[in-house]
Amino acid sequence: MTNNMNGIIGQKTKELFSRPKSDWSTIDQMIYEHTNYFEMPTEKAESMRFLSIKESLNHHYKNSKFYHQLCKEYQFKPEDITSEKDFQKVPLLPDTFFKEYPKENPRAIYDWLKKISTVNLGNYDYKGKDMQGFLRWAEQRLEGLVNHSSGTTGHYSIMFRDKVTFQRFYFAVVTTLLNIPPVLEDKPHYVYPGSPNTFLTIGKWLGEGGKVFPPEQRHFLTEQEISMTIARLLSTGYAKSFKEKLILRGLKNAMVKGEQKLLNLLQELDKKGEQTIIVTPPFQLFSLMLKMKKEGISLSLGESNSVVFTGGGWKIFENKKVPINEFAGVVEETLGISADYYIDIYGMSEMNGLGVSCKGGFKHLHPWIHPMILDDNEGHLDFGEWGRFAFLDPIAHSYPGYIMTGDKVKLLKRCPVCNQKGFVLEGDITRMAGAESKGCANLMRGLMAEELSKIQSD
Amino acid sequence: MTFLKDWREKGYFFDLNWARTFGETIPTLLFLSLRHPLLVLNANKGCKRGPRNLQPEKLPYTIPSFNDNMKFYDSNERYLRQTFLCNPLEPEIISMANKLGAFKLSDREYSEKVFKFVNGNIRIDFSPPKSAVDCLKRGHGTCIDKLSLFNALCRVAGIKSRYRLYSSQGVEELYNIYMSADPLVQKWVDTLNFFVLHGSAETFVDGEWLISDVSADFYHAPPNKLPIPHFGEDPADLWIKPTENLWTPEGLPIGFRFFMSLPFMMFRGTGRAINSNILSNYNKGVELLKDLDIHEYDVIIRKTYRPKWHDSAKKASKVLHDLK
Repeated sequence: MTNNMNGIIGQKTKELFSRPKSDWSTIDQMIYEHTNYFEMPTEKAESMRFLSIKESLNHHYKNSKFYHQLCKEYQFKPEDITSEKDFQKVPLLPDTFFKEYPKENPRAIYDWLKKISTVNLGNYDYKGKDMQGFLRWAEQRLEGLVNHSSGTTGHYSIMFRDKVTFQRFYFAVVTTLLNIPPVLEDKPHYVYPGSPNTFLTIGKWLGEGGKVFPPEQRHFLTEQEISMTIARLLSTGYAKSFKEKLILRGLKNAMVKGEQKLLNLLQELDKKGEQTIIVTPPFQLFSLMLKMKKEGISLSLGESNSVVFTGGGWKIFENKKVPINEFAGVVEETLGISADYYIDIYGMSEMNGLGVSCKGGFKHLHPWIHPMILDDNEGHLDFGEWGRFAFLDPIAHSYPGYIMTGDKVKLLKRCPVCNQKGFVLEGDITRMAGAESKGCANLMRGLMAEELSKIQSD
Repeated sequence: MTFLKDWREKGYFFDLNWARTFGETIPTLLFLSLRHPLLVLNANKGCKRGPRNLQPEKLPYTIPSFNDNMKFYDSNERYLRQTFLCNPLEPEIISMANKLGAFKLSDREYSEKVFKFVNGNIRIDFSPPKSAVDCLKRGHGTCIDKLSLFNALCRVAGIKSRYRLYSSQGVEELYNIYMSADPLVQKWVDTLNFFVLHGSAETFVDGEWLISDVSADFYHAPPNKLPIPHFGEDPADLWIKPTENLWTPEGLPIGFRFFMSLPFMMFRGTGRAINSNILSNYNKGVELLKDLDIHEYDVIIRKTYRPKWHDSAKKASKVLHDLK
């Protein structure tokens, strides 16, 4: 991993996402002072993580009436934590908790949010009735970031990050990703084949994160707004009315055309030798690469130090899933980017941290995340066993980031392949039996499924 | 007015505890039934072939004929006397008690034997309420029926025994067998986050009230990797626990049989669906226990078993819901 944070992009990252040193706690030191996160000495990472989580627990216990009550239910107090082993006692929230708002209307969601939030939201003065407007209002109120899942199951997960959480998280994520290319040019191109104009998690995150790049260097598949209704429409593929059918058809056409547009763009950037940072769900890039193979197109983006990041998993394309090494081979063959610079990312809307794949395909977790593996009875399992992924996330300031997910993982204490430090997850992450299919990258299924099948059957 | 006092003591009236239990649960069921009439309709249509009850073709035990030499304890003392649906002086109860060792074994040994008999031989099912003796003669019943039988067999041997009634929360495995069998019951339990009524026993042995649960037969446990219940072991530590309105009456109220029969008339399909699930689980258990010693199984499973309460994932939601 390099240190690319001294250039223009690095400066912009600091400008957008830094926090005043006077407000720092241990987690801020971890994020802002030690930016080569995967090289932090193990002992130091352990002690800083321990302190960060202790401080975080105190914060939520003291300031969140809801979490305080939950702790009482579990007969837990932050002072019960005297060693890392005690983290097993921390009351966890299931990830489904964040979709349990009572009704899908602004006032009801505000009341729900007020109850679960650790920070003060102020009075409700939103005058509108639509959800999209409300999310915008909430984001301004929090000076942070609001995002929602695709609503595949009929309910959205809604996450509200305040300014503190947002800045910490974005600084950490952008710094992590920008340190991966061998050299970071002053004006690299940033390509995300989706819409940034949305509160849908992946689009929202990549739209906001992309702001460290100059506007003329950012490229999206479409600028069309993906509202909550459209997100659900796309993820379920079910149009209830004629109007929705028209919207769906329009979007589908836009996406299919967009794929060609994206290919044209990549060809142009390749021709000019411009450094390109591509961030995309894997199946979407795979569809494009199959198209390239079919049309006999190959690029040499690697020569300009370009990088590919995939994230969001294969979701409903699980049956078409390609092993990471094979995928990297196709990236090299079509885009000309070597396997070292194809990185798969593991993340989720509730976690302020990532798992970044190494050359062995293991996902390295950010050092502030305390991972845990649970069995069917929510008992704690040891390293090397498959189970439900849960974590303690001390970055979360506006909500308790102690989450039990629906992902089935195997956790290792260190990477068996590379020298980077910290906990790793084995590459093959699936959903636990009974857990609902999840992920906003799932969104494109209605649009891309046919195309992908068409190309694969050719 | 002695009889009024007696009746009150025996729990013959629907008192505040019953009012609270039903007041908190029945309106929800009625509301759900009105709101989702299709659920009721489908429940009644959907499982026509499911068993109405799980009465075994042949009883796995024999009830000896009553004779005058058989001993029994006849007293009007609290927790030893007859209460509604629990008559310890029925001839079949007396003869079965004698067969099980009443007046020969110590109170603890005898109660434990009765506990094993009821748990090992009387099939749990979802069927209209019946008396202790009917439960014995038919070989099946609900948790309350089995509890009445257990109480009767203890009382006839001079061992005080009473009902421990409560709204309950079970472990995930129980939820999967009983509640998820029918969408209406599932919705009801999901809405309340508990089940309306469950009964365990409290038996007075060696100077203390011991809690035991005779509801789930032993065959229930192995397919679900649950431990085998022991006599004197509170199920709240293992697989079913009180959530609301716990009380310990001497007996059941008069009218209990009528009122508790109503759901079986209204939601016939629901009962059949649950019985189908129980039967399938029972058959699995019988199959597993063919190759497995029940005690050995219990010792092994207890080493790793931790109850996974159905509400554990919902605890946060419940806290949030209760937050003012």
